[in-house]
Amino acid sequence: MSFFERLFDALRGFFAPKPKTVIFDPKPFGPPLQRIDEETVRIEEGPLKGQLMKLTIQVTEDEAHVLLHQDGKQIGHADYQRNAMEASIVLWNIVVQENLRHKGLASIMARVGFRHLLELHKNASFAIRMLRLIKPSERITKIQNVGIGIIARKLGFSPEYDLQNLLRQRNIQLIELIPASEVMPPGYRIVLKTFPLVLIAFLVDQATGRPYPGGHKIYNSLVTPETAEQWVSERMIIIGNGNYLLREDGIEELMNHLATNQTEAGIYARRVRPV
Amino acid sequence: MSTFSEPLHNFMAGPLVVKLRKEVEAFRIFNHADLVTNAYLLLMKFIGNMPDWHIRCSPRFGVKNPDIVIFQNYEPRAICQFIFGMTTEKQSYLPTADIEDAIGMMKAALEERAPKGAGRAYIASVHDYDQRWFVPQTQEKQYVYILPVNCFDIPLHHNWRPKWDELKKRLF
Repeated sequence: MSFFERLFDALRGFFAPKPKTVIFDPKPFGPPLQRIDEETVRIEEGPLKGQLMKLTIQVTEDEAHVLLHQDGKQIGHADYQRNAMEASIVLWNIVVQENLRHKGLASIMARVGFRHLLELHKNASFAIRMLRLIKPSERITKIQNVGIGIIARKLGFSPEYDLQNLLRQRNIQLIELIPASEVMPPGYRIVLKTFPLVLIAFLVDQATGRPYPGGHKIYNSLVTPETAEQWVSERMIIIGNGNYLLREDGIEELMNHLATNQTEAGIYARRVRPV
Repeated sequence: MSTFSEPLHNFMAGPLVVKLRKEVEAFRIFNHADLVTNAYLLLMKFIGNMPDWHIRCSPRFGVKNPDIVIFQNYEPRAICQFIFGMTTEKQSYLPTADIEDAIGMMKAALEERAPKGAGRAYIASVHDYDQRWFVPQTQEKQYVYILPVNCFDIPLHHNWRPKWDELKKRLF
């Protein structure tokens, strides 16, 4: 980091609004891990309980990568950009081998990566990049970015798009149901009159935080202004083709999922800045 | 499917909706029974004396009988359910739950009585609602059609609606 960057960081830290006191309320994020050595961990709970995984982190000036190996074979990776335009820590890709999905591995990689980068950045702002512009004529057969979207919601990130405004009934042209596939939940293709023209979205159960499965009655419901309002206000809708940002109201949620104790939560809270 | 099926579908999706709205506008429909009776008459006029075509009101059709079923050669070709969603208590109201129930019922009826696209189902909903709403449909071919008869589109609605409310109270 050059002298000017450090100076800029220091000034930004000095003038940034002071964070609120965080009341630490730990929440689980992915299965708990037991550290065996520097890079090896054992999964303590869930469908992969007892399995050993190797977690390696590669950090450069602009990027960071979390690599997950099992029995010498890479089974997943998470990619981060550092000091990007939208935020200082940007998660932009997370991949898990197909047969190991929905078992908490993406959460492990996201958590490890965010925690590690939080230690490197004294002033950290967070974003998750999922933006993909889709033409209204493009045929979409399955929902995208389900895992990363659920992680974003869980960690307190909110959509970059102003959904309240975009999902006004006058702005909607068409809502099409995307059927569930073997590994993906059902969702909607929402064609809008204004930018970004198409939203690919799915709904999550408030209670479990998981997507509603195929055949659930919620997908037979009519979409009225009240329904759209409920989707947004209760954070039921996840946009699979739009960025997510960590704003003021989500910082506490992030702390509660990343920190392991009150002291750590306090340190993190001082470092995190809303986008 | 018979060559008459397409004109029937076009009638259901177009003129029937317009004619039903005209009937409501002319203060002839105040409840579900009025609606079904009017629709029955309009459909009877349309089908006329076509051989092998029959129209039945509330035939025994399993768990819940649809309001009207049009048969060709004793096979159901159009299964129709009518929803009357106007009430004097609310000026702008969409019978969301009734429409959702009817969609489920129509899908089940089609699956049981007219599988593989042999028939179509229609849900006509008469309501007065000032917002836009959507029925999410899949990209595959649809066999359940929603026919919204929105009284909010009646010209001079602000004059018409108080009269309708008044008549509804007087005519029970």
